[in-house]
Amino acid sequence: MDITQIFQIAGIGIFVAVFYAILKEAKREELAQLLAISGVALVTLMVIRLISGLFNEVRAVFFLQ
Amino acid sequence: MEVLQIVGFGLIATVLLVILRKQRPEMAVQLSIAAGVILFLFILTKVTAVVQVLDDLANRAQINRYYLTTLLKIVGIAYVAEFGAQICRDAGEGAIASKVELGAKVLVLVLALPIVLALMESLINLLPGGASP
Repeated sequence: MDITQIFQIAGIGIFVAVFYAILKEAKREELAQLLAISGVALVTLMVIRLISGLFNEVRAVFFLQ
Repeated sequence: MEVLQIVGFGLIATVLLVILRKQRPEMAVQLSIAAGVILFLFILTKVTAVVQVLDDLANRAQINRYYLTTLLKIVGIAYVAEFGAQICRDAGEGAIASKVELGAKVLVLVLALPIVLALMESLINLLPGGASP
């Protein structure tokens, strides 16, 4: 029950949201978009690792070959 | 007790999700997936204990292991499909969620067919008329 993963993802999300607003004020729309996409990509990588772990565990427990 | 951990974890994840939902909805979906995965990994340790007991009982009662493994497979498929469908529904994609559930139902049906056939066989043999009328 390690909650650090959740805090990391939430931290990245808030970080991206704040800097998105800042970059928008600085009239740099494209940079803000890039930041948003990179944030989503990073979080997706973390979540995919979690999901693969879950599926391996389920496969082991429920004999799903 | 574990239930306090689970409830605490769920509340913290919900609060963080509410914060993220407004600015970054796509991040919120991933955060809910991550929270769901971590919660279930914690529950899975308990489920393995139950499965072990079921296994021992099945062996002691000389039940064919095939039936127990099929039963556990069905439970596993049902759970994973419900997990995915619920996340899709949270993200607002009801159509995809229903497709995932449909697929899972079909897979469960396919898995259950051999057992139903075996049941039919045994029933027919029990009838006084025997296999052929």
